Amino acid sequence: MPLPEAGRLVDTPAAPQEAALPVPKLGVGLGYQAQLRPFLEKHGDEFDFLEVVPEVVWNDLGPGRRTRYVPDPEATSFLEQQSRVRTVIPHSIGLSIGSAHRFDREHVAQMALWHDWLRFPWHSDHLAFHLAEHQDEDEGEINVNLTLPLPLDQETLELVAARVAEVRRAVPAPFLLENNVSYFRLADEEYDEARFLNALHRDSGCGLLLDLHNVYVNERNLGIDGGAFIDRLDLEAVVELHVAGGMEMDGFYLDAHSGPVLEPVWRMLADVLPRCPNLGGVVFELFGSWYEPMGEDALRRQLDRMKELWARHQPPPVRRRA
Amino acid sequence: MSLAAFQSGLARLVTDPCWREEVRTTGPTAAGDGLTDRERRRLHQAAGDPGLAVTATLVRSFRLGKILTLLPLTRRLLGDTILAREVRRFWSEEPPRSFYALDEAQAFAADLLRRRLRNPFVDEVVAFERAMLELRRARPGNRLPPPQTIRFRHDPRIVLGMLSEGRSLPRRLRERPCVLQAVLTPDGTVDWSPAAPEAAA
Repeated sequence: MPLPEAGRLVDTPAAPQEAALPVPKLGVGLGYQAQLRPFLEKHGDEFDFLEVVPEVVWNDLGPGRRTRYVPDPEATSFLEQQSRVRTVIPHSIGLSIGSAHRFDREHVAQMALWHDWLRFPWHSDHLAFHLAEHQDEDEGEINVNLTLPLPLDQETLELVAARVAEVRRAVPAPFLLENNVSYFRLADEEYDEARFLNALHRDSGCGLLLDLHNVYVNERNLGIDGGAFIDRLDLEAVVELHVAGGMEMDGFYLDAHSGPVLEPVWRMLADVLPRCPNLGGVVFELFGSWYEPMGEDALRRQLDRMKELWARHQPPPVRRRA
Repeated sequence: MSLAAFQSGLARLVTDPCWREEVRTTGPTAAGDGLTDRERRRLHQAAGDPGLAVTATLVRSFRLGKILTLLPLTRRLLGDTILAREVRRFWSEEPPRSFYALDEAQAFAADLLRRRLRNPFVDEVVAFERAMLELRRARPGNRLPPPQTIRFRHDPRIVLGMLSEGRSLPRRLRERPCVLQAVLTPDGTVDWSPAAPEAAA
């Protein structure tokens, strides 16, 4: 089915309050980047599914436009081909689900169109915000282009839970939110991160995308105890895991997706994999510009190691029929 | 809504270094109106957090990358010092608005064209790169973009050719005004042709 271009409102039955788990066991995934296309075409046997950030496949002309989302024809065609042989999972960065000043229902409707197109078994976004009002009302909106932390308070929980419910009504697939990475903390929060994520899962039915590199980054920069965080988390809610590599800058360790997974993150993965009964997949994230410095062989080694761990701790991946 | 005001403040801390310094040095009261005391304290604490400065650096790097990638001839023409000065000035007035590189580069190019810098080549080089970006802008239904008209004061083959080869332009070049029109063809190539001078008005 070709990707529809124009946005439309979706009228679907209300989703049940409980999370729609379990999902299929897809296995090991790789994040799509245009620079990775040669690898994706040459080494299709190295990964089981493809994850894609929709915002790099379409151009968003802005809220309220009659045709807001204009697909990139090349990337769309590539995904179309990929979707015939493997599952393609959207991992969005554009919803800004925690933005208090507005909720982007056009984005939600667009994800519903993507579901019509790709029939993905789940989709995800980030527990964060990047859109905010400009301090001068008539100056419109700021797009920080980076996920900023939400205050982990009851007010935020209620705001996000209500929006998750809307997403779940509009898009007939489980919706996951990813634990955020941040380089600073907000004072006097009512919840710790694990309790907040558990409550959000309980109240909204969203699944969790547990980004282990984010946990490691927060451990390095904020001094959190990553192991204790994971131990407190309801791992039955975890549907997807992310791993990645990073880099140092100004005394901070960055979630740069700039190379191989570090050993502490591999250890986290080995620890968590057998403890997530509803896990659908684990994805390696690499920014396209780092593919060349990293190299084809190193990327294959990451995926091989992920597959070894998956095979040890999870059932064999289901295959999509071509 | 107080949470919206808080998020507006946090976004401003990340994108506006002067305001960040003001909040850091003045205290929670500088964080603005419409906030709870806790939100003011949070903003004040964040303003002094080195992690917020790192966040701001990441945002600036991402923004700058868009400009450097999409306006390479403008960068070559102005040099990094002047470009950095112009970018800082532009950003002091214009926070990030879009995820997309083309939007950021277009907005900066438009700003440069309004600036009337003393460099004798800047208008034509920036106008050229801006026009090329406009031709690449995504359009619903794959509609072709409107033709772009650029007024050159100097021979574009020399000006654009030297910059494309990574060479600096001489201080002066004999003026050879012309007006060209660029059209994107259905096969994705750009066709150039002379245009009437009034077309560039």
